[in-house]
Amino acid sequence: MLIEGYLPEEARDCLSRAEGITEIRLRAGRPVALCRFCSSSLVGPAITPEALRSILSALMEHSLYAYENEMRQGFFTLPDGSRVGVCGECVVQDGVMRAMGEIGSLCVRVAREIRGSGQAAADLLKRYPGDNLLLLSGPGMGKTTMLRDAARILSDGGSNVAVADERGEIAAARSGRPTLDVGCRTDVLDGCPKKTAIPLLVRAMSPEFIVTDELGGDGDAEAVREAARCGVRILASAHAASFEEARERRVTGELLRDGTFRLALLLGQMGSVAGAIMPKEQEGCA
Amino acid sequence: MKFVLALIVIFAAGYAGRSVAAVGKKRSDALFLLADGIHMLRIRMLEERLPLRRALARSDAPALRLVGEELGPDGAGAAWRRVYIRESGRTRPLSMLRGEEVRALDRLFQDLGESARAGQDALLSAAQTEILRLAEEAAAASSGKSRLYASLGALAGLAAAVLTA
Repeated sequence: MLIEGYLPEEARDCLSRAEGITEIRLRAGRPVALCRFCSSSLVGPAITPEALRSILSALMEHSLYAYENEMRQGFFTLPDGSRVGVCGECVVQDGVMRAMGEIGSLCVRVAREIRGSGQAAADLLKRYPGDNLLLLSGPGMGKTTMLRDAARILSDGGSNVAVADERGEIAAARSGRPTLDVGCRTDVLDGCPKKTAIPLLVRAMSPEFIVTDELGGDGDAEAVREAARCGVRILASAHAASFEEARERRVTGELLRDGTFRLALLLGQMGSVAGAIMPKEQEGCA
Repeated sequence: MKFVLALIVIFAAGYAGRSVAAVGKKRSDALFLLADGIHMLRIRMLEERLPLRRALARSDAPALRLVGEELGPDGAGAAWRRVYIRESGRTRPLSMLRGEEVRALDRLFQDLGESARAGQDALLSAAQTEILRLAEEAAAASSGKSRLYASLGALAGLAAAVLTA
């Protein structure tokens, strides 16, 4: 884990022994918090604001200028696919966040590759050819892990897969090449907004599947609909703790109602499937 | 025969004088290369958005390339200090650098990569301007010295020829 090398010694030792860590939270003036699915523990001495700034700088490879856009969104992605959320004093101009001044805390969401976690999604897509699949869950439930593994299974199974990886979390590409295993027939478009990436992938790469995460932005619904009209199948994820919540949300609601997504899986704790929508039923069943 | 020997002594001494002056020319060339390197570094960092290590390591200027290769978790300032200690001895790649240039590079590397685009733009512009000024001063000094040392060498050769005749 890339973050490990930058932590205080005590936290580093604890982390190397611990299993199932999903998040590492660093707060100025507080000990390091190691979080699992259902619990968390505080380890080591309090981190000074200077040490927190140094850790952030080292995680950004001493290239803060290269992460300016990501910092405006409040997070960036490490080469191992882990996502680092940043909190602190915002510099706001004309109502728009321009930069992050003093850093107060970091939240590292650990990227995991769990082989087999995407099997259920890949099986559903095989069982219902022609349909698209939406993965739903609250934060930290394993949507991205499942997407990544499903992309790998589909790709290694013989399909051309394209990943629209706006946040760099699915494939963790570096210099245009994925650092996580997304399969041998997978093309990755990294760092590009989904509404631009999806049409570009359809035109440029002729994929059979497009995999993307966290639908919800302006233009996402139209890009997904247009790709589906072109015969490309979509495997996507979105934030929603229930099917009802997904239907109430603008983008996912629109795509579920118009039939773009007739398949949906609701994930529970540790990536388990808590419910599904199948083409015939169109109703949630736990 | 004596005349030929006297001519050889005069030309040899003049050539020796020019060689001494060439050290100054090499220094000014190295500084112009460094200024160009900073200009390219600015493009690689701020327009191509390359991470600092890759942006530095692709440079033609030894001072920048070596820091890129040395860059570790402690940042560019610490990497520069290690590189300068290791590579500034006689015959080493950074032996051409003098006090003012070293101080300009100290200032550059101390904050390199540690702020957003606007801050880095200002830092790189200031360093480039400073190194370019030092390079122009070194070039002017070396041009004057080149003529002076060549003439002095030739005169010394002439004197030696007269004395030995």
